[in-house]
Amino acid sequence: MHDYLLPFGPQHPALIEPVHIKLRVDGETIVGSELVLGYNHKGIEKSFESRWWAKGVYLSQRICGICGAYHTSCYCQGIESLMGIEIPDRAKYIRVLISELERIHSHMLALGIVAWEIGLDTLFHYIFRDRELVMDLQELLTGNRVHFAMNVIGGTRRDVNLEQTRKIEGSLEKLEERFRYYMDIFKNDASVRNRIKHVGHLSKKKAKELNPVGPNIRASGIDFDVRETGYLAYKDLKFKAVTGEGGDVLERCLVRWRECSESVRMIHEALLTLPKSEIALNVPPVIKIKEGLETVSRVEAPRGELIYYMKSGGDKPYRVKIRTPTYQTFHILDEIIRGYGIPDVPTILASIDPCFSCTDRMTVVDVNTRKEKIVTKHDILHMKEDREG
Amino acid sequence: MNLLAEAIKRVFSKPSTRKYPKEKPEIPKGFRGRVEWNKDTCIFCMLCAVNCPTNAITINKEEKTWSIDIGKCIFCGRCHDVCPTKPKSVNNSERYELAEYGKEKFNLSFNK
Repeated sequence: MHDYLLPFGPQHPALIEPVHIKLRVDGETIVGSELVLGYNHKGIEKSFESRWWAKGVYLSQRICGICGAYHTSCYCQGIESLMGIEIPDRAKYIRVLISELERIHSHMLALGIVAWEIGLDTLFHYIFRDRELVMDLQELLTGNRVHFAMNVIGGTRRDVNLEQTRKIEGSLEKLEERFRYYMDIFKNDASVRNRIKHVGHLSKKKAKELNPVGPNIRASGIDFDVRETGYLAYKDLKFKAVTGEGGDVLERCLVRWRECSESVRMIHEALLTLPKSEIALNVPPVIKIKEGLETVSRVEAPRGELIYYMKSGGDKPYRVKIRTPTYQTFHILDEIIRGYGIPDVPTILASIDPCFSCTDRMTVVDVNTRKEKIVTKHDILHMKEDREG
Repeated sequence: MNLLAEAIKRVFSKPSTRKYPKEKPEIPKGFRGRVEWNKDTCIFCMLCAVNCPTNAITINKEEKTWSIDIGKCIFCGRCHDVCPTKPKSVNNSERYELAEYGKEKFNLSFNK
């Protein structure tokens, strides 16, 4: 028996960004896969090192167009902990407000794409039409549909007023009804359910082993959400993580829909209990932080846990290391497409909601020997020992 | 069936798209459009040029010129935030139709 190698991408109708997946197929069935990245590297981590702290906020926003508010929020959170300041309560609430609005639009985008990948363009267009409601709210609050530039070091830039609050409440009411409608369609409509139920299965045991983040692990029944640690104002808003059971494509979609509803609930509560205080501390444009200080900050982005490691080099960072959610999730693809057919690949790929441009990393290759430099776990442990003496 | 009912309902309802060039979208207050400069209030303190994340703004103090490269501008509005004058000399306008023929047309220079 032979298996054949079927290239999927880098240019493929189902892909929005370029990525190359080598599928090993036996007839129609996939028996293995290999992920080839490297089409999107932007060198952002390096270019942080040549910017002032305050200018880096706008750079971090451009890592991803969909989760920009999370990147800035995480970056600012890290710098604030390096500086040893705490932002005003109102700023915390506004950050949550913007983040949750962005989560809704990100999840709706992901789910719309799932609908599109299974060939149901009608549903895709309906979801994207309703997504416009959130986009308009974001424009109203921040002055732009994407790239909000809302978070700054020490707080947020704009306040929420009563008129905006009313508009948000009105739109969210409409949206909540739509969420229920879409959840019903995903669960009960035969043309959707038959394509996504029992497809791309990730068991709880495998999920624990492979350890993805975000809705992908929660759909397998593991309760892992950074928001439960209660950073920003999540503690006051009584956040509860949404989990599912079964871990197939349908479950991943349903977890996202339920998370949207949870976000709506939190936004309502945040608007009701918005504390009265300043929205930002007075932070000078050039910040000096003692050299060598380190910090790790993390937030829950729509796709999962987002981590920033930062080391200070004075008025600029010495090093910024970012672990984006998809980087920690992408390897589950091999597990969840094995055993399914070729037409299921786009659906399964869309269901893990990948963001390729955040995932790309650099590989050091020796030009003469064509050897790649790989840092293993052993090397990292040695590095630590060397450092400790 | 649920989806079909929705589709039939939508045939008779108003389209959710807009006939764009004829029908302009409603711009909310505080929209961050093209950056505009007020020559009467500017004191040439250089703060906007220094704080611009992409170095899109250049100022010549001797010749009293203020110029911006719209191709580089990321519309973050930081120049407006740091401007010390009252009223602010650098503002985000509501202009959003910024396409041009040719790169050089993005380089805007203003004289006092």
